[in-house]
Amino acid sequence: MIRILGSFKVVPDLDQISEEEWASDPANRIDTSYVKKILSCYDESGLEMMLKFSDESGDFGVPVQLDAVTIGRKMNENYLKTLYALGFTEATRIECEKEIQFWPEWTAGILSEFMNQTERYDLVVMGNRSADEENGKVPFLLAEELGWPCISQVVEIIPEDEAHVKVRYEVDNGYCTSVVQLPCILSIGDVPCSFLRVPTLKDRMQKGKKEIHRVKIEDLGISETFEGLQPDLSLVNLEVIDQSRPGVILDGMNAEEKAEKLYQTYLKGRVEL
Amino acid sequence: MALSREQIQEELKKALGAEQVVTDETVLKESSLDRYRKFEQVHEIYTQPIPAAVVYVKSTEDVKSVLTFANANGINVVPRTGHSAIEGGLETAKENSIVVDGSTMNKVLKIDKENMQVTCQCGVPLQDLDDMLREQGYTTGHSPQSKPLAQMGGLVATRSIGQFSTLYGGIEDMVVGLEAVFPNGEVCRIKNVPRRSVGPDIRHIIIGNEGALCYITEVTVKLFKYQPENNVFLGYTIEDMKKGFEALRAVMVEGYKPSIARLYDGPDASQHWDWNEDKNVLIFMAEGPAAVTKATAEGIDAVVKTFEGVKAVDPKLIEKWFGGLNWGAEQIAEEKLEILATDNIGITTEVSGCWDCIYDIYKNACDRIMKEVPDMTLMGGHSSHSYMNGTNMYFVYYYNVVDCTPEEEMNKYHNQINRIICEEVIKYGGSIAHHHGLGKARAHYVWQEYGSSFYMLETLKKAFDPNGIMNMGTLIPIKHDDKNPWIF
Repeated sequence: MIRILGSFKVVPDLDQISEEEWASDPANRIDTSYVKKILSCYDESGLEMMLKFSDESGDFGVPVQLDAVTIGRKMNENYLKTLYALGFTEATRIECEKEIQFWPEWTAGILSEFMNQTERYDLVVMGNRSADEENGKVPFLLAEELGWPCISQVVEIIPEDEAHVKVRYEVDNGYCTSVVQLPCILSIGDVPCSFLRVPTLKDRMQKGKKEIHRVKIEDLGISETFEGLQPDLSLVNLEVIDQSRPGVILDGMNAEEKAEKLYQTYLKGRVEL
Repeated sequence: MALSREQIQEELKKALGAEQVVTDETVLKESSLDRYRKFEQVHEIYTQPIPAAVVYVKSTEDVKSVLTFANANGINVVPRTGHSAIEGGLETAKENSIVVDGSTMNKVLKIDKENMQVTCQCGVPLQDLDDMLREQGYTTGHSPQSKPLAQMGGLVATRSIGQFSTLYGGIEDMVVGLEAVFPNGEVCRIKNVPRRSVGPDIRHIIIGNEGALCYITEVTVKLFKYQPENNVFLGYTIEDMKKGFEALRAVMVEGYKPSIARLYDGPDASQHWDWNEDKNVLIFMAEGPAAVTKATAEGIDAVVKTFEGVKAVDPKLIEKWFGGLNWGAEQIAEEKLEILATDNIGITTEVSGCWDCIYDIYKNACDRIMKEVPDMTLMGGHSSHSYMNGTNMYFVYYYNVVDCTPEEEMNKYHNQINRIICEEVIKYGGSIAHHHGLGKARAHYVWQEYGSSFYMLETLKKAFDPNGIMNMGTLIPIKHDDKNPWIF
């Protein structure tokens, strides 16, 4: 049996915030309290990847157990219920009411302690960064703490056997596929059109009501370690990147005229070169 | 003898010039349907007859020319502007139809601030018009979710309604005058007056005709002062949905005029917010002069708080959320990717009913759909337009498409859900379509919807479109199977 732990973060859907709303307060905090929260997109890709891996594992004769863990508020449990409804076996929320930002060492430390205290996992699947902070460090820091290898920019996981998985990951000029020995951490990269599937209401009723495990940070025996410490990074400024590009609107009586003008003015020279 | 596809294209090019006649296969396919067949659309599967041409009209004369030609040759015409329809109204149900696109008739003709009215051609996008008016301190008061896409002709043709309807009314309350072209080429103008008593209000032959009687070329609508600085938002959670309807009713009956009055059930609310903890949500907005909005908000707050299970929430949560409610091309493109990746699709059906039955319609339809339709992933809805005698119900539902092709999806899921909703609405005496139009799908319930007044609808159709060329299948089905009305 391969035991896979999916780790995810719930983040505010920043697409719902208009540019005007990006004005921050003196502490450089943008108010996202009114914005609906969503799964961090890289984690969402990872969770769906786990389900696909599980779908395919039967053909390879490899039994799989999918578990999930998140750190955060009670609201995160809605996502854990969804994962139960989709067939996950164990779902855990590490209780944390504070919003922890720009502190990947803290997150990696918590996850490492959680893994040390729970059952043995063969594989950890997590987004390569969170959609709201983009530190991009947690998978590597966790790998270091656990002493496991970490494959980054993963776009696909394929069953191999009980001790190995086949991993497709993005490199500078393309994709590589490698067979990786377990245990390891897979850091999920940018997977286009990767959405978590949606459980039916029937599945939510039948499977989604399973008890969610709750773990207090202090129960992990690490509060002493982290209390009083501050992140290495602190936010000092926010500014919008101007993504507008200069442009020219071509005038002409019809599409043909405009196309001709486009060709003569902008394309002909390049073609003739 | 019927003209061939090529002959139709040739004649249209002669009449309008080749540049106004599009015969590109991809455009024609995409013009054979609207978002009613969303699952087919995202899979680029086209099951409806492909039109012969899409013509872009530039003037009333162009429309007259095309309609006269189509009428003389028995060719079906589908009027279109913003292409945001979602009830099959834009499906080309007959072979070799002509889609007459008015989006190039996009001039704002007159902003009349003295008489508080604006006249524009049918293809003026509502978003552009309202943005322009707001810069000058005015608004149409019309703000449907389709605002970024919809254009004035289509909005009037479908009897649309906006999010501020409880104050400003539906489009029928805003339209002052019109110009329309009938299939025989007759151009009719209805003048702009505050009110008149000169026989039936003939505007209503045109408003809501869904392109089945005439082509709307020009619209004059009222103007209102735009005073967003005075807006006041209110939000509540309420334990019981039935009590929520009672609270909405109480606000209306006590005589308050919020611009927004909405009630979301738990499942639908959870798509929008995290803070409601699966509870139902009530929302109000007061709009207008400062003294009015203050009094309106205080009055509504007092009324709502008399109901059991009500808890007020920070109004800022509502105000901020409301700013991002509209749907444009970007959201549609994003939705397409999500549907293709997950096979999970979300659709809406809007109906209305009087206060004494709206909860039963809501409850029974939801219960039956959950029991009778497989693979449902969300079933809920909201009321978003209230009146003195009742309100609407906007059913919102999602399902996974399982074990069927895109072509089969319609009859396995979407039509079945619509069937159940229509059956429950008819049973309780409500209306099966509140503001999207009857289109072609729900047209199969037109007889039950109209009852004895169907005579009037049928007579209008026969009188104004005797050759049956105007958007056939919309309002009145071309073919109807009594035993299986929802298999088509």
